[in-house]
Amino acid sequence: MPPLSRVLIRTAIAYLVASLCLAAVAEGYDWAHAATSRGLWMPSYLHLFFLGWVSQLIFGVAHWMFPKPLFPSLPVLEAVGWASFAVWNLGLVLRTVAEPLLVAGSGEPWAVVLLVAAALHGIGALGWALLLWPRIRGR
Amino acid sequence: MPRVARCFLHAALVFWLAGTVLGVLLLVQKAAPFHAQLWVLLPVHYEFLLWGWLVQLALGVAYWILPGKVGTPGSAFAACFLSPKWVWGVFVLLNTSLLLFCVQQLSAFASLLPAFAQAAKLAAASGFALHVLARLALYEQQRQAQETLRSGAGAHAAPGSRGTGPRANP
Repeated sequence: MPPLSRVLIRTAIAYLVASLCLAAVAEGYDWAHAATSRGLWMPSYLHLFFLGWVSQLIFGVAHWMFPKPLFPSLPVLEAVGWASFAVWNLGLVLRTVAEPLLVAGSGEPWAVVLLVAAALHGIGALGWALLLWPRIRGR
Repeated sequence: MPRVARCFLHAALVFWLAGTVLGVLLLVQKAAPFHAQLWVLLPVHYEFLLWGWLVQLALGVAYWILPGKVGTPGSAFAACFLSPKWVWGVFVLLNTSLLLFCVQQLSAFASLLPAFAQAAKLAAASGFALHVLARLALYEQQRQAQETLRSGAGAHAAPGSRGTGPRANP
């Protein structure tokens, strides 16, 4: 299994645990304070789960199992993969922090952080698509 | 990797990009509102990433990797579900349903489209389920035939020799 796949799968598992912890703590807080803060944490929970866990697990396994590319070479694609990994995870962490704080009304700086996170998500998603596209091929 | 699987996987990546672009637009709208009507696209964002990306990717990988060779002669009933044309039909139905859903969200008057989109999605999912069941049944038949053959020739077989088993589609 290539190192990128191993790192992606380990990171995906960390996001699975993180998303479930977030949901458990937030539900516990709501129960203890008779509050309904779902609107604040639900988007972060869903994105940690689907973009952190599900998607990174898919890209990790696909990078391991899909046919080797004819062009560009595998090292070039791996470099794209590592860059996407860095950009994607930075974007995901930034949005996880900034989104609830912005919705809670914590001010303008978080809007800027969220815009940066949006840009990082876009670049990261393009990187993941570039990583897999040449590997979907016949013999 | 067979052609149908490649089409499923390429389409999945296209929906991945389209769904992410919508997500990025919605995130920008949240941070710096510029067009309130954009929230109409939230269900399209869900639909593209759940059905267009995740489900379509799963179908493509399943078609590629499941045992049972497509196009193997068998009963006419099973052969229908096993034919690549059947799976092409699933591909067309699923993607039509996603595009119909997107059009419906963008046009307020098209009230019948969601029903068509859901019906197409249901037909695609049922079609693929029948294909997978036929593939697995074929695999079981082939395995049993090999077992019978092996047990018949067992006395002459070299110790530890194994059948090749059905291969995944090329």
